[in-house]
Amino acid sequence: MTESFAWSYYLDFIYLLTKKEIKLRYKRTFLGLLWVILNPLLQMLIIGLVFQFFVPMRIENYFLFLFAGLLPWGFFANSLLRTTPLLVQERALIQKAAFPREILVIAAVLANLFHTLVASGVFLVFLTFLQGSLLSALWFFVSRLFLSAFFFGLFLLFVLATCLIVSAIYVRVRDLNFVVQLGVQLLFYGVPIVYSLSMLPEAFRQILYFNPLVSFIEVFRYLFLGGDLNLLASTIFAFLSVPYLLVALQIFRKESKNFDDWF
Amino acid sequence: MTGSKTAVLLKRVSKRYFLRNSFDKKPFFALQNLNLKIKKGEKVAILGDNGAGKTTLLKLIAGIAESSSGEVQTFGKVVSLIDITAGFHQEFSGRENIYLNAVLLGLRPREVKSLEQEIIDFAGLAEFIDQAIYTYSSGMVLRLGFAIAIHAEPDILILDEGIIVGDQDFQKKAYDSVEEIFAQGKTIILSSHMLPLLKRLCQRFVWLERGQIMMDGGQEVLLEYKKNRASLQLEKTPSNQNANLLFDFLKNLPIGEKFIATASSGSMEPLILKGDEIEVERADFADLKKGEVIAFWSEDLQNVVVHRFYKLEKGKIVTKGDNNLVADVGHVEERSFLGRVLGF
Repeated sequence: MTESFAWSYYLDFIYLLTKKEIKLRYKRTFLGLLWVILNPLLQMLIIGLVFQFFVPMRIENYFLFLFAGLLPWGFFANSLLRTTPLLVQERALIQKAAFPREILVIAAVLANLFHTLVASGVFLVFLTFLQGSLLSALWFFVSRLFLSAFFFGLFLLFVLATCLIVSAIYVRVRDLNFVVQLGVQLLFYGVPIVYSLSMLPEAFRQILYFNPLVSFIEVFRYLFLGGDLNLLASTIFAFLSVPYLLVALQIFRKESKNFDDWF
Repeated sequence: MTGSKTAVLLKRVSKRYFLRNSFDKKPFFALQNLNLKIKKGEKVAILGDNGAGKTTLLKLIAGIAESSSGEVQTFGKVVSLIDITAGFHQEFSGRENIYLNAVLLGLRPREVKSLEQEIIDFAGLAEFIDQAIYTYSSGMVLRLGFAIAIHAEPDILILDEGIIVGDQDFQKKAYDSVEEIFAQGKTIILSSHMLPLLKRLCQRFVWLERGQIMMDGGQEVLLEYKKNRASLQLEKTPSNQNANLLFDFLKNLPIGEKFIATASSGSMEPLILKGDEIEVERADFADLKKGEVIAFWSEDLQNVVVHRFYKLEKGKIVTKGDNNLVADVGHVEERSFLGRVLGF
């Protein structure tokens, strides 16, 4: 088997599984792909109503602010929740066919990325219509399209790496599913989605930045809605996803040798 | 260098599993210090009782599991048919599943495209192919799985038991295509309880016991293995050869007990030939399904007859042999029924 054959086979395989994963989610639903945009929209409405009318947040355009934060958060949270028990769920396949195990995780994450990208696209078009002049609208659309594609690329690597590590360790340590489920709920309030960082005291804000998710969420919100952000620092930070993914792949490969033992 | 003639090479291979409970874990060796070299084009049968390490060995060669120590090398594209329906997804149509499963077996999507029609025809699913497979009967699912697998073009083919599947017509077709693959000069490694099939198809036999190789060689290994197993069965065979006593003895074996019989005619060709040994498991008359191969007592022949369940008529099973030229139709009642033939 030549190297190029192996690589294109790998990609074909990922493509096919991702397609399966996406199709599967909307099989036999009446609204089908409409759920992709409906889901974050309804989430935004529910959370927005709580924090606008019961515990009012002093943030301008609060619903847009929420939506911009929910997009990257949804990608991260849904991917992690889906992939944590994935390998054990696919046990029958893993025990009976030889293929690179990480493909299962990659396909599940890519399917989630697809949903996030569709919702983000709709959001971007919506924001473009809010721009004052035709020229500024055009500039806004093109620049945000490229920048968010760039950051989504790096964010994908970050999410993928996290999912690879967690899903591989879950095979051995089944407690992880409970930890992840609770952790995701807790983390929702640990990252600036319903509130903005500027509402926090300076020292606390610095600590939050140790969480890479915070930086990514801030970047996406900055791209869509503006505000102040150190774009250079965030870019450099985002690039740390590359070595992170390489380490995650190593961990996954090492763990995958023993999957058979723990099923 | 091992040269280009080698297909599979195992050097001092061990596979250790852990038997765990809440307090401790005990190591368990499914394979221990195994050395095995399989040349290109060899047809190798792996013999052994349940738990001897057959499936573990096949999994290691297929790349599904990794050895705990030692080295496993394979040369060429390995396709394993350990469970031909493992990659199927119930919600998807037959056609979509062809793509998923074929790619899992190492085919490229555009190769699948050109094989698609051939696979559908082989499985005989023409008008059902775009239906979700949860609507399929189990026979249809197996047929589709087999049809995909047979088109995967491997260099090294690994077959586990229960490979010849489906109803009577499809079993014949499946058997023919397995024979065809065997004629193509590919390396084939298989494990099965269908000893007659192995005898006809393989030249080399590897006998595993407790994770180690007991014997490795030609037909003589099969003979030794059968002898060894026969001694296990002896206590269940009556010393008196009187036919009626034999029937009473067999009839009184509890459900789930197994016995071995030798075919004395060719009524079930090509799957069972005259002289083949078959394994029969005592089963409940009411549990039988159409298409199963069953054993019953014939008053006329004063002997055990093996036929296929054809249809149910007034509480009696009407049976037929696969070979229409030789076989008569049989009528089986609960009273004369003996058991289900294993491996079909």
